[in-house]
Amino acid sequence: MVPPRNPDMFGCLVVPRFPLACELGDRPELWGRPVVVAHADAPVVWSASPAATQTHGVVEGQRLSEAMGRCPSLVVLDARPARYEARDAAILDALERVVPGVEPAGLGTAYVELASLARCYRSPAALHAALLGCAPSELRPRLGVGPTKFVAGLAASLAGTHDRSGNVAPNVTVVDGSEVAAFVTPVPVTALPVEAEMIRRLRLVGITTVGQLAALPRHALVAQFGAQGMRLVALLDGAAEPVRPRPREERVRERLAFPEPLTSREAVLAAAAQVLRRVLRHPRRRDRVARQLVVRAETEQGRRWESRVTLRHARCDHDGLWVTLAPALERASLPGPVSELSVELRGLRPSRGWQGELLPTSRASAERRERIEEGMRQLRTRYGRTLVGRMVPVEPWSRIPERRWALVELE
Amino acid sequence: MTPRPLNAPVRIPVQVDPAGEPRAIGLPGPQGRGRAVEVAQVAERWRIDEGWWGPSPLSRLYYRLALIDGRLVTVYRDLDDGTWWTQRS
Repeated sequence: MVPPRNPDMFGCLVVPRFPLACELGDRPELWGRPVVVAHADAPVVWSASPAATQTHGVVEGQRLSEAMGRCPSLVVLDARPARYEARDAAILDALERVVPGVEPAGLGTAYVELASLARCYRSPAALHAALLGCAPSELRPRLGVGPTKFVAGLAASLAGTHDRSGNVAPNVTVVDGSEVAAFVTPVPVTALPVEAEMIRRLRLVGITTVGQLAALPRHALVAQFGAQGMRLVALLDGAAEPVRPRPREERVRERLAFPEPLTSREAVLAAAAQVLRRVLRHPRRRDRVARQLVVRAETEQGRRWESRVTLRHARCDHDGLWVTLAPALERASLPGPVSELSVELRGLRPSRGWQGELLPTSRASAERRERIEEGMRQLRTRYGRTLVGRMVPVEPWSRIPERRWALVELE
Repeated sequence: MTPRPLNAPVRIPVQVDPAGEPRAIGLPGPQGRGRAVEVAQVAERWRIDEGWWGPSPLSRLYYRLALIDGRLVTVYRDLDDGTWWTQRS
């Protein structure tokens, strides 16, 4: 029997404290210990473990010196944004193999629409397992399912957490349409998808749960919090926001990893030229031209430099791309010795031909000039004039379109 | 060959509403074939007054129009004689 289609079910896959989860995935011995991840160049806590937060009061955004003062045994790990982005992209790719539309919502969070998927699986549990399986188990992903994205997000934020009596919730929390009011009422406001400042202000006036927030007059919320308040009111009233899938874009990428990190600019340029040649030979490019060029350099510490150039004309010729790529690398202030270099071509599309210059210019070859002049001579003989014109600027700044450019006969 | 201005305006028939705003326009060329196409939305309007100090003043009210068939066209009303023209801008 075909199960009935569930009209409104959304899923939210979350890896809580994603940067920290990535680091602990590589060093499982640190699970349960007070650990923070911080940028090397900004001494501020980016992601803190529950042990650091609950026992020592270390919170995200805190200065590292203050965090270490609160917790002398704190383990501080250097952030590796490039690695986190790569793992996040891998999770999104895996989700897209299961669900047609995936909406990224920051590192380690993604929304999916489940209504069309329910009938593809034997049971809801099988579907939930497939979604959870998109993230590596060592990252300890959680899944929330609800009738709106908002409820699914709240459900995901509570999945796998400890309640007051010490019980651990399962990794999947499902909230039916009929249970929404009872579910959201005790949820702490810290789980709301709003700015930290708004949560701080709510807690200052004693509002700690979504139930208390929902009991407030709507106009008061809007008056206090403006546009954010309006969005929150809409969410509390059950407004359904659709899943906005990330745009699918054809792209090819090649990378080169160096056992010995490159320190000199010349070596980086030579490596970039090699990667560019490789990406142009990529079998998936299939003679298509690219609209955008992205070059990335990564250091051993996982720090990243990236330059993204939108090409004036879609192209895929080595010389034309090198003219764009080389200056970007020459100007770059790289974050350290480069251990990996990648070049990506984005916005691939079939080539519609390249319209070069028709008229003979000083750069044209003598043979081409001669051929064009011969063609013009024939036109003049046949029609009495060449019929070939040249656009000349008259008043290019004019607000009146017909005064900007004129066509004059090419003689 | 004397210089020929590019993007010269082309006269078109326009139906206007009581407020004088374009309601339907007849576009020249094979795509339009002279039939009236309804205006879905006035996307933008701007006015140009030039040369009022000289012998040939020019006063135009331009409209960027979204048509119901999805096309986006620029038309203007010559405020001296009330005629309508379309033009690439």
